[in-house]
Amino acid sequence: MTRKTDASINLTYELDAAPSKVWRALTVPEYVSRWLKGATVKDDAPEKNALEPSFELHLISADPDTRVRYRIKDNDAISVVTFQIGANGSGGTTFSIVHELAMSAANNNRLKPLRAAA
Amino acid sequence: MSETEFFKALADPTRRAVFERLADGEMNATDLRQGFDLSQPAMSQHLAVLRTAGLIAEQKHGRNVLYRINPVGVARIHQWLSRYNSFWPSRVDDLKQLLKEMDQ
Repeated sequence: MTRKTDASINLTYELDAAPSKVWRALTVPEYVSRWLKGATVKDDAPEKNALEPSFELHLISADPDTRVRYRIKDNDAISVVTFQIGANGSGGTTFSIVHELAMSAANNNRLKPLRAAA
Repeated sequence: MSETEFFKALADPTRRAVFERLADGEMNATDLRQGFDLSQPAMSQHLAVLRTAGLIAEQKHGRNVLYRINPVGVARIHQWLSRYNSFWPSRVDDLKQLLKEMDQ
């Protein structure tokens, strides 16, 4: 159920790379900084600038080739992002992003495994 | 009230749960406490923080005080969401590019 106070983002992508390779891109700091850090975020509000320079990632947990969680600290808020990956059956990877504004105890078990149906 | 203070008010899991419960409709502090292991003073303090942050509003009906979601606070959450809803797709484009450049 989506509530008006629900502050989370759920996105799923298919990537043309094996899960082990995607895993490295998501967890090796040098790679993470290439696709994620230094990111700027546009906003319609005029007083709001790019997220830089205070977009910081802090590792929370990592399950190899499966799931990694980071705490994100930006100019405004502390949030948690979970990257989950799984083989998609055609050599690639199903990649999901769950980004939540605040840790809510009720949300801890809501991630589903990403295995593609055979 | 800065953005940081606003989001700090939500970063506490109990306050966030209180806030989410109020999304179901306005209620008084006694009804709100049901299901929470919170003393009345503790609940009052959480409500005060949420109110100061602009996330909830209160209305007095005689002795009864009803709390409800402040639409302005909800709008700020939606603003945060829309920012990251455009952020992630562009980051994933860069991730795809990186994957092409990486060794197997």
